[in-house]
Amino acid sequence: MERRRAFVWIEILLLFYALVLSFLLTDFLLIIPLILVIVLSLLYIKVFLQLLGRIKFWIIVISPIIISAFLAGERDLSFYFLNLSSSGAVIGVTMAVRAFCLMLTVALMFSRVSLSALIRFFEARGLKGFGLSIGVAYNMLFSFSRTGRVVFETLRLRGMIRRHPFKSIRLYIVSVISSTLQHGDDIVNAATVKAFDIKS
Amino acid sequence: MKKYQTRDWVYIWLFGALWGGIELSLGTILHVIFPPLVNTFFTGLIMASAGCIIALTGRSFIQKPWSIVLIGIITALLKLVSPGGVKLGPVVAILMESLLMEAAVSLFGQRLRTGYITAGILALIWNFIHRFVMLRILFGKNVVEVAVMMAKSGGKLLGIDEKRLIAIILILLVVRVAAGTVSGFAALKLGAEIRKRLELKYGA
Repeated sequence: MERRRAFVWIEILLLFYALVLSFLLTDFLLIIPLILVIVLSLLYIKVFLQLLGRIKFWIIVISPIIISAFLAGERDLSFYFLNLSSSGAVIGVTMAVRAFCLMLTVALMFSRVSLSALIRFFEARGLKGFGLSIGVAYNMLFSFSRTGRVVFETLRLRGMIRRHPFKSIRLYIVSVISSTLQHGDDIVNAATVKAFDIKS
Repeated sequence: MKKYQTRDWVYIWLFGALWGGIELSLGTILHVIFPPLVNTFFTGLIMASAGCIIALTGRSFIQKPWSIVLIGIITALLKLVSPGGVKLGPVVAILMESLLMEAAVSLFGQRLRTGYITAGILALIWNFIHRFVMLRILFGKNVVEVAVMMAKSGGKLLGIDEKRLIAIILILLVVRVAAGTVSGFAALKLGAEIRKRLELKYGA
């Protein structure tokens, strides 16, 4: 168990090192964090493939190469009917490599973080209320959607949305937040009755 | 830091979850409706305004320093652990907006209206700058050069001169200042209305 935890910390440290290198290095030196990140990503092959499968990721990575090849520098390269700039393409590639390294490193780093790990992290550092807050907030998300739906249906059945659309938005927000706060008060009362107290 | 009681923590997680819920639900819908290129103008503006209203309303119930930042941290963490992968942009935006709102509200102290409106304006202005900052972080210093060239050639292509391009940026900034003012004012009114409603219902 201890060995596994140490191994995870080494991975995270190496990822952080790659992140720092991506920030600091420029031009051809960016190859160093690129190799490091790709080697590390083999340990998280699922996350790596997930990221590579996203269209948005490729748009972000490829767009600087295309834009720079068209806009930056003198157009000295001919590709079919297109006139491109080789110096612009080089600038674009360095921008793309940097973006690739940063996005991959961040995705890999946070793939190791789970909700329970976050709560453990805050609890261990004495932030008792904070760890609890994240856990309960995560579970509250589902109850909010239910409350929101109920309020929306109530307003719709009373014909408010059609007759007074702006007023109904205000009423919707007020009702959802009020019922949320009432729910919060119930939690506080239950905690008080059980002598549960968080102070920081 | 003033001591946070159980009630304060409960309210922090409630408002954090509310903001997080909006980010996860409305944010996803808006990203689907609006294509990526108009994100800066519509999605960001709507999401920042909604977040600003929720966080500032939360501040009127948790009148302790750093409460907006804590709400922002909860929201950012919810965004981090949400399904759909890690998106660094929104997380940085949420944290920066909450930090700026906290700074404005703390700076103006008892002058609530001024504080809330300034907080709204600062949060919405950050939302405008955010895209450029993130681009600079992601692509490095070359992005500035390419962006200037892109703006110039885009302007030429559409027949718009440089002065008008600056005017367009200024208009976008003014829209955000207006939205920030409205959000700050709305949060103030909303806080008062919810308090009144709860008092009427429970006499609390």
